[in-house]
Amino acid sequence: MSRDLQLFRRILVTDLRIYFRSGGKSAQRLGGLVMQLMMLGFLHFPVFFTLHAFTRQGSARGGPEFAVLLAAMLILAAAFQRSLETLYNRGDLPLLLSSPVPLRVIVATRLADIAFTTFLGSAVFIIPLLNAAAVLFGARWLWGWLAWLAATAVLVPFALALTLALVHRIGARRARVGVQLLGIAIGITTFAGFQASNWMMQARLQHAGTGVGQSLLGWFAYPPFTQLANAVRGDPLWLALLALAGINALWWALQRLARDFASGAQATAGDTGSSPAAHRSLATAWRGAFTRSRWSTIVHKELRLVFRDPLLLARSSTQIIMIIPGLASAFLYRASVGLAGVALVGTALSATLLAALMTTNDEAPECAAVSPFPPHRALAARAFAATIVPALLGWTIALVVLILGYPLVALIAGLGATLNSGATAWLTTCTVRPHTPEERAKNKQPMIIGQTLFGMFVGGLGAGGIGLLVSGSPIAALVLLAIAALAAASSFIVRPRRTWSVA
Amino acid sequence: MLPAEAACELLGLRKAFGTTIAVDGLSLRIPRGTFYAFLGPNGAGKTTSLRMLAGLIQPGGGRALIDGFDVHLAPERAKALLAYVPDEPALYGKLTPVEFLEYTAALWEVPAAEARARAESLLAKLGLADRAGDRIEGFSRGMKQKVALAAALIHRPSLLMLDEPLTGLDASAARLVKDMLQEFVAAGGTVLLTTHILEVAERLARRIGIIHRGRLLAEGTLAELQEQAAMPGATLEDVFLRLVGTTEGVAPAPA
Repeated sequence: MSRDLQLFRRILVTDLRIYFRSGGKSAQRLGGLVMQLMMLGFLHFPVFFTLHAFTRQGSARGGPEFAVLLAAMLILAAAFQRSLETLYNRGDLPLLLSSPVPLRVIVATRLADIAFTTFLGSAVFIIPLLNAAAVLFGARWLWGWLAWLAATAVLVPFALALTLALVHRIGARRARVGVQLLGIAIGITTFAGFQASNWMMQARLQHAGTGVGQSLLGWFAYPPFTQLANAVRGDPLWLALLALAGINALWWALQRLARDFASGAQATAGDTGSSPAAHRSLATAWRGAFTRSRWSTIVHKELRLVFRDPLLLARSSTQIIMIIPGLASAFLYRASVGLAGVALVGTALSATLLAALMTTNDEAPECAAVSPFPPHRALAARAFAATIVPALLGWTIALVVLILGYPLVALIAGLGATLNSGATAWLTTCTVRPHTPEERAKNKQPMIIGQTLFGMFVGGLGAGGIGLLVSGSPIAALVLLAIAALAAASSFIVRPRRTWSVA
Repeated sequence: MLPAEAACELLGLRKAFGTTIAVDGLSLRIPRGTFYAFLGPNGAGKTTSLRMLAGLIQPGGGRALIDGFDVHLAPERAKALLAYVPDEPALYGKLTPVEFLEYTAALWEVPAAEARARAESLLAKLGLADRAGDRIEGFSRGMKQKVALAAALIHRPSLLMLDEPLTGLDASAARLVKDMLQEFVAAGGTVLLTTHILEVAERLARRIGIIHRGRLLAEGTLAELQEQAAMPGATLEDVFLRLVGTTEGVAPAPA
């Protein structure tokens, strides 16, 4: 075995060991693997039923092309994420770059690492798509596995090259934020894509015979999506060309990106994170300082930390953007009920996410923990900060409902949104722990499945109550709304599960 | 309540992480107005002890008292008197020094006017006045350490605990910090610091505690430590190596 190959093998094994061990201790990793396999199994159902809708409607022109586009975007998002981690978050690059290991070996290792982990990272969405397509539309779709591998080989060098170009042009820190935002945009588009069939069916119900769904998907039935879809279906010509493109892209990356990779890694190591926007004049710095109350100072600090971090802001906004499809659907039926329901559910979910991001991204929990400020009050301040924006959103929607001519529904929506936001923010603040610096560096997502389900539960009950009220069943509505309010209020009896202080 | 002269006292403090015993029945009494250095090799239990004293970790047993108040039974009374600067400064990168000091002052309920005057004075003293409006994320490690020190001093604590406070500081910044700590003690405060720089402990500390494997090996003034190690006139480094080296199997320095 040549020296280069030996070095390649040794570094790659270490890289992959780090990747797999980042899931925690062995028991945690096993638990995580089981959860991911369960998620993979579960995702087969919604994907199957989404695709099944197209079999009942006959041939949906552009459907495969649209699915291929979604899959490519998912691979691209995963490739960006991994490229960024390799450049920005890995502490071993200075060691490798200062060692006598040839640069081509380092780049080859990193490329293999990114490609392999991208492949794994996109599996959870692509495997259900391919399996469902094979069952519903024929076994030839199993060629998609090979196409998936080839597409990863094409997209990984592209993502790495773009990340390096961003680092070169706008600096490592802003490139990191830019790539994260791009990933979020792709995620939102994918979400919208998965919802598309539902909207199209609703549109069809509203506009029977207009073929709205057909025309929407038809937008994608053009090159190169058609050829890509053919490759996934097992067309030998296009599959061979895609595989060839993948090999070429990897070869090109190995030959051409080596130098950029080294300078990109050096740029990330030397980037202190300061930007012109981070400098303020001294007069501005002291203006308004030390004039607020204790409570207000602490709430302000929580809001400043979110609003000054583009990544946190983008993640928080994502939840609000996710409400938009709900709003669109709401208008298709009865606007007052739909909008009020969106206010109740959406604000609860937004507050959950905001509180979770504030808590998990707390860089200095020790500050409050060593102070005499009671821990439950510090958490209350954070929950209050996480409530403000969603509650304002709720009252804005309530105002629209009022303008539509439903004052009682508007009042219930506004009050309910405020209660739900506060309740879910408090529940999340009490039950989520601050992430460690390592977890924050990896932008680990907060685990808020239970809290999200709680938000959906109380919001859904409230929305049901409003539906009953508008449909003329005031007693049943009152009962349901009372249950929703009590359920939301019950979260306030939750005590912090864990704080940094023992008080 | 403790006698008034004790700034803090550890009574049989214990802590284990799984099967690893980090602190094993540590007892220590630090008189008020003392510059106390807490020494020990890596993994000896220094940071864990400090974190228990700061109320960040629940002890497995024993008590930690600050000015007579149990940190875990009367945390608000005890914490009002202390300040803790960890080895990695706990700061918010997206805030400016002014905003961070405002936040810290709010946590300790320092009146606004007093807090502002104190913040201006501390930032000027630490050479950060012209960077008061910049976000902390762009600061060097030494500058971050200075912001952390300013935040620790803004509420005028009576006990200042610092974990490796001189790490990452250049010579002039280190001198500045050492001077400020000495001033703090001269004004009646108590400093408890951990350090691996034995010369600092030797020059600044009135009393020194040496901890190893979670237990207190020796404690006292430098002269008392020399006596315990049977090395009269030896440097702290020699004394330290003899006391710790004996248990580590390292050849002790000649007496």
